[in-house]
Amino acid sequence: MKGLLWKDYYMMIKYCRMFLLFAVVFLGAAIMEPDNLFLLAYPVILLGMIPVNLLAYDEREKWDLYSAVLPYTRKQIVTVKYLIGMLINLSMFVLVMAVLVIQGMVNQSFHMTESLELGALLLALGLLTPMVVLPFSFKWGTEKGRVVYIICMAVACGGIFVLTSEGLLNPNIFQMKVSLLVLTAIMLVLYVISWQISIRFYEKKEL
Amino acid sequence: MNALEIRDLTKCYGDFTLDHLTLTLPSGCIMGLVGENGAGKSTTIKLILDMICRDSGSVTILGRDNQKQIGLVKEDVGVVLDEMGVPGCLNALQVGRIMAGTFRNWDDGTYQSYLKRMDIPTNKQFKDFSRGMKMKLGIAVAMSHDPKLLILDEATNGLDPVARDEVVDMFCDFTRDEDHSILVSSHIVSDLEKLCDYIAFLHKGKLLLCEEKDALREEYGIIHCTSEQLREIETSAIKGKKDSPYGVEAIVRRDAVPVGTLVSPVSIEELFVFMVKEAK
Repeated sequence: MKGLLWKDYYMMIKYCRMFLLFAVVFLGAAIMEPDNLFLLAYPVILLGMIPVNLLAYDEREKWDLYSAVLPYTRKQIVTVKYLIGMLINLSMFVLVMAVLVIQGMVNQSFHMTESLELGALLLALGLLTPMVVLPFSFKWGTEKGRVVYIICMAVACGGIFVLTSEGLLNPNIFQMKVSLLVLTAIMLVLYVISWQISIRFYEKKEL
Repeated sequence: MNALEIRDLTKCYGDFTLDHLTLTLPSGCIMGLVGENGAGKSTTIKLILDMICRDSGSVTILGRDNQKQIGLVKEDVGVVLDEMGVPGCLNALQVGRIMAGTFRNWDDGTYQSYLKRMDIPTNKQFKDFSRGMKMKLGIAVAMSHDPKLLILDEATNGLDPVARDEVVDMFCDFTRDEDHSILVSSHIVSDLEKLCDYIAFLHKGKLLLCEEKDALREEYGIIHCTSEQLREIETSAIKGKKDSPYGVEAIVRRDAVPVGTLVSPVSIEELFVFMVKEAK
């Protein structure tokens, strides 16, 4: 899979440079505004979309056809996208933790447990987009995958709004009954399931 | 061991069927797959590479089933498709690095020499390449990992005559090794005539014929005669005809023609055109 990773690396450098710039700007701003969770969450979600964007570029450049003549299995082609998603999110986790530590040093109030929980939650959030969109993209193409993503996000946001209004979801994430680490573990399991589903879909796809 | 064995390969789409295709490419030979647009050439190549699912039949590449061991198979197969799906932001050096991480037998020295030989710029982005340059890069990649079989889908289209001649020479050099074979599909029948040992004609998903090129030339010829003279020749010996106000031009089997009839040599292109028109 080394060749596939190199290919995606070169494409990220060329096509996703702006995402990295946004991440640096937002994380830098987050150091100044410790109460603004959005400044931490947005770059994580944005960079989490990179695997989906790379898949869209593959489709546009007809790499999906060309890679079929190379000695890669469909499983490897799918796995690389999930691997890149995980690597990006783990990198963002490290950066977010670094920002939280700096925030703590500046405000002289650093809580390790809460910071780890928040970092883990953001890691899970970053995995959400590839987890939902990649299976549909591998099955039906990235255009239709994007439509599914919009529908899922609308349903998720609506659901969160309703649950919060009914008092079933606490806006203060640290006072939720279910541990954030458990939620993150569930997301990781779902990510693995999404990976397996994508493999099944892509193995059956006609190119 | 044959390089490629296709048995009863069938694929149905709504308005097109590749109908029980059976072909054998012996090791060390070059086979040309000739067909008009929509004949099924690319479908055949996609089925060989397991890019699409077959409805029935089998494909064996270098002695291996193309579905069970496809990863291993593709290590020994170099493929050039009619469209090179290389990301536009990459240059030739980056493509080489990707391929080095892809093929076990990748030879960067060979790749660099092909780049030089075919004047492919190393630092220019792929999206800025001309069509011919893209095909040349595809050929360089396909030939740089010690393949035993080359599969070329319209690989010489878009090349200027000089480049095409050079590439045809490269393919001829490739098959000097007895273990090396080529399956090439093309509209440019004149290239296939220069290059191929075997010719297969595909028309609307059906194989019209598959024979040695030299045998075809010896077996068939063109005659110019009247309709009455043509009626004297058995129908099964006539592969195609063209009527005009001045007479009939027909492709016939030489051994079925009356003694004394002037039979001119036929090119593969003429044979194909006549047979397709007859099949219509």
